[in-house]
This record gives sequence, C-alpha cells and structure tokens, in this order.
Amino acid sequence: MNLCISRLQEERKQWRRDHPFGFVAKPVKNEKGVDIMKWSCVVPGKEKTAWEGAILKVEISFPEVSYKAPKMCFPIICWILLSSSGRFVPPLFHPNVYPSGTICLSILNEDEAWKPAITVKQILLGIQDLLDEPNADSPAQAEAYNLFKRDREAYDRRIRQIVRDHLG
Amino acid sequence: MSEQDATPPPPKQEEGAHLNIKVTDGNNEVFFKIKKTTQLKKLMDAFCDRSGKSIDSVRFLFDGTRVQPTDSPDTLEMQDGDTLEVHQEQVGGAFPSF
Repeated sequence: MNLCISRLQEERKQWRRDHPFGFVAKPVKNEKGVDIMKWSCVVPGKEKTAWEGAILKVEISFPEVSYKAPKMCFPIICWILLSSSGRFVPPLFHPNVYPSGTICLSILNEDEAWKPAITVKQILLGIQDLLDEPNADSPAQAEAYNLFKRDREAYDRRIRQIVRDHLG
Repeated sequence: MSEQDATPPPPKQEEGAHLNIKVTDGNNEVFFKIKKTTQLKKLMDAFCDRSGKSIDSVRFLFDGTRVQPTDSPDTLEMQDGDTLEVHQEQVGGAFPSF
C-alpha cells in the first residue's frame, strides 16, 4: 500500500474518532467503492461572524503521485462548492478564492506553508478561519477584494446576504 | 468495497455485537453502547430525554447525512467510536447531500 493511501486512511480513522463539531470529511463513494483520494467535506461558518450559519461544501482531491515521499503526494487542490444545490460556483465571493473556485491559502501551497504533517482537519479549520479573515495581501478575485478593501461593513453585509440566500 | 476493507478488523463476533457511539450537540457529549442492529430511535430519544430537548427540535447527523429513527448502526455502516451530531432543526435550510 502506498504512503499516500495509508496516510489518508489513518486520517479518516482519526476523524471518525474525533472531529470538530459541524464539520464533515469523508472519502467519496463511487461504483467501485470508496475512493480515498477524493474527499467530500463540509466547513461551517464560524459563529459570531458574517459567515455564521453558512455550510460550505469543499471537495479535496489528492493527486495520485504516489511513488514519491508523502510531501510530494500530498499537495492539495480544494474547491468550494455551493452547498444547497451542489452546483459548482465559481467564484465564491471571497478575496482569496480564485474565479475557478480554488482556494488561495498558504498552508495549501507547496511553495509556502505546506508541510506533510498538515492534516485534513487542519486544512478545514484553516478554511473556516480564512472565511472571516481574508488575506488582503494575496487577492485572488477582484470583486470581493475591492469591496473588502473599500468598505468592510458593506462587505460583511454582502457576505450575510450570500449566506442567507445560498449557503444556509 | 467498504471503507474498512483495506484493514480488516479481526472478526470478533461477541465484541462486534455492540458499538460505543458518541452523541454530541457541540457542548454536551453522551456515550451510548448499543447493538449494531438496534434502531437509532432508541438512542435519539434517550439523548433528547437526557438533555431536555424535544425530538422535533433537533436533527441527528452522521457524517453529514441526516439519520432516520429507523436507521441502525448496521445500515449506516457505523464503527465503534463513531459520532452522531445533534443540530438544531431549521426551516428552509438543507444539509448538502453527498
């Protein structure tokens, strides 16, 4: 069994034993059974923020580069999907989410803070933190970034509106 | 293939008959020991009784999927140590289904 698969199976085992409330992280099932390389996850918006009540569906794909060390087999691609309809929504209104839906987060970037020791749990908690604490130094889309920079109150109102209409 | 196939647990029939299930609403945790074939209704009622909640005011989720009272650990492929989450029932919103 290659390192990546055994690593992910162990993560899943730990997750079942204990995970933060309201979060979901499980490998997807297809006609062949469970695909440990693709996970369906749910990140809840943090309480007492504009994102409170939001339920974000996140898909994590682990690339199948399994012959290298864990470092190489574990960079991550995340997509945020709109929860209620399951529709792909490029982009989520957030300064650090690309128009493609990919999240720009340092811990997910191999050239930045990615470490093999980072767990799925840390990634999902990181995404939850990022929701309400965008990094204005690394914009990934213009619309959310501009409003965030110009008028934080209007930005928060917009987020609440989106959460109410689409993500609750 | 089920999720457990890659590392098959040693089949111990006697021990395997019961599971310890954690039920939590984010604040309180209650542990239950139930048979694999027992309907989860029993556990849901017990949790609501103990925490003073009405069964209609909450929903139970396992791995993000809503649990029906007629489900059992067997039908949901639950393992020893798994968690049921109790969320406030809400109108209009739906949890994403996978």
